[in-house]
Amino acid sequence: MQPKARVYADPSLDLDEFERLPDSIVLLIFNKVADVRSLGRCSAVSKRFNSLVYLVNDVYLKIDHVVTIDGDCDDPLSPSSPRHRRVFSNFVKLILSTLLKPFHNLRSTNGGNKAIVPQLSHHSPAQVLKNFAHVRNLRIELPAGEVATEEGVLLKWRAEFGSTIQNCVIFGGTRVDRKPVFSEHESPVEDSGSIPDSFYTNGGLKLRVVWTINSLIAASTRHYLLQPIIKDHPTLKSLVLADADGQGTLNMGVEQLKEFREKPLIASAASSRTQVPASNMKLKYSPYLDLPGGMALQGATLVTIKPSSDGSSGTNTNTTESDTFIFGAFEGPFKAAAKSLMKRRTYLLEMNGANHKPDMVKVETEEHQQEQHSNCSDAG
Amino acid sequence: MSEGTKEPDGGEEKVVLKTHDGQEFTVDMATANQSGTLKNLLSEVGSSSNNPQVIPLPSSITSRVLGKVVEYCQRHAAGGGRRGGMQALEQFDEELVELDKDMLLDVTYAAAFLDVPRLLDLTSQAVADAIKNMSVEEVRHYFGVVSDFTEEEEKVIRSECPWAFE
Repeated sequence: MQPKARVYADPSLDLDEFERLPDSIVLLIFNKVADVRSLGRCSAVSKRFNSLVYLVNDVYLKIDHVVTIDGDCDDPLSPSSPRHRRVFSNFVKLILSTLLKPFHNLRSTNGGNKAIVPQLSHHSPAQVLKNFAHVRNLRIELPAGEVATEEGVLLKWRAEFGSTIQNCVIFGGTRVDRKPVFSEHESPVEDSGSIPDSFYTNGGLKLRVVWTINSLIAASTRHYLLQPIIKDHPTLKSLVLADADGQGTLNMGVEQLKEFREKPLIASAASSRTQVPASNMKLKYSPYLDLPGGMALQGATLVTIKPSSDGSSGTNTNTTESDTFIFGAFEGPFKAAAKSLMKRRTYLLEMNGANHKPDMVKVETEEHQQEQHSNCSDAG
Repeated sequence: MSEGTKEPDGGEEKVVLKTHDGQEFTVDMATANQSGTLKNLLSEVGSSSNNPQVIPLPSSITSRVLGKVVEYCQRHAAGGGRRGGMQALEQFDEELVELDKDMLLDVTYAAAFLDVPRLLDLTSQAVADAIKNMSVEEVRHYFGVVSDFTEEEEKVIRSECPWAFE
């Protein structure tokens, strides 16, 4: 067994009471403190502490408030505004022309072109991190998730970004309940894994589209915020941008940070978020899903998103890679729930802008799917 | 005051750890091997039950501190296979670091000196948790550090990270 921390103290040095811990141990403690405010205070303790604080590898930055800045002077509600076309990527633009209702919703909850500026006591994350020249693992936490949902709704998203989005999974449900007693021994919903027809007519589909768009906008806005930090800190190996609600988590690992640096995406100056390319979106649905721990989720939905240019959708390696991401995305009862949703029938969420009728947004059975429910009748 | 001392039993290899204040702790090899420092040392010099190697320790590791480290090493040498399994072991770890400040810092130092990585992890995490959210003065008091900044210098230092004081 090779010990990971090997710290020898010279016994002859003992022991000035003030300096009883060698630098390496103090630094180890600082890495475990991680919280940037606490570290800032440690830096004012003494000269020795000051020189050690800025050597930490692990930093945790808790944002205390988010300021919204309206960076758009065009009519923000006009979808034909030229700025809009720049800001919204292909993907969002298509939705825009097909589904006006969710689009309005998206604007009201997310502020459209508005940039969000997270702050820590009126200082930007980049300012706060300025002197931390050795940070490798950075975790930033926003005070709340950005996507507003109705009470009782469960919505979580996880996304992996390089230069732009690489993987995204959204998990949601319309209501979380304590499991009713009668359902302990029998499953109340016996179905073939297909989506019931009512899903298309009662607003169920529309709601899922809104969740998807809002989550993607939140993710790409967050990614945009990280740009200056990644540029300032070439030492970064892992970057997480989460929120205190546990709603969304954006992840960038070693490979993703490398891609970001080597192939930076040219972002429009007017844009306050990273453009999301046209993507494949797959939806899985269950009207009712048991969660471990005596809870049940109604209208359980899993949407997985991958850029369509990202290789073919059918190759096995790609699928395995995505599955690994999806299974690793959530924790606890949600992990099990996502797993059981993955076994259900796959539908392709088609966002087609060629026809401007709202019903163009359709959920279709994936033709080449290799699902276990492949004997189901075609839903599209 | 020799409750930490154990008589060698049987033909098993033993090693004696001797603190500066004269206490001797006789431990078996499995326990000693939890410490990277002792493991390296013993792989060179060897030890036996008849003639156990005596290893003197620096004065910063008092018998009270060494007692804690030995307790940890003995428990972990037995591992999760012991009655109670991993869960009991985790609880043991949790309770082990419930120490007063001075003892915690001393055990941290000892864990580093003796190279017991998991114990060092536990104690340094406990120290980190303790100093989180402390004021500058509280951190100084905790570590027994006296500021060597001039008033002017401290002002500059604080202005470098205003977000830590607002």
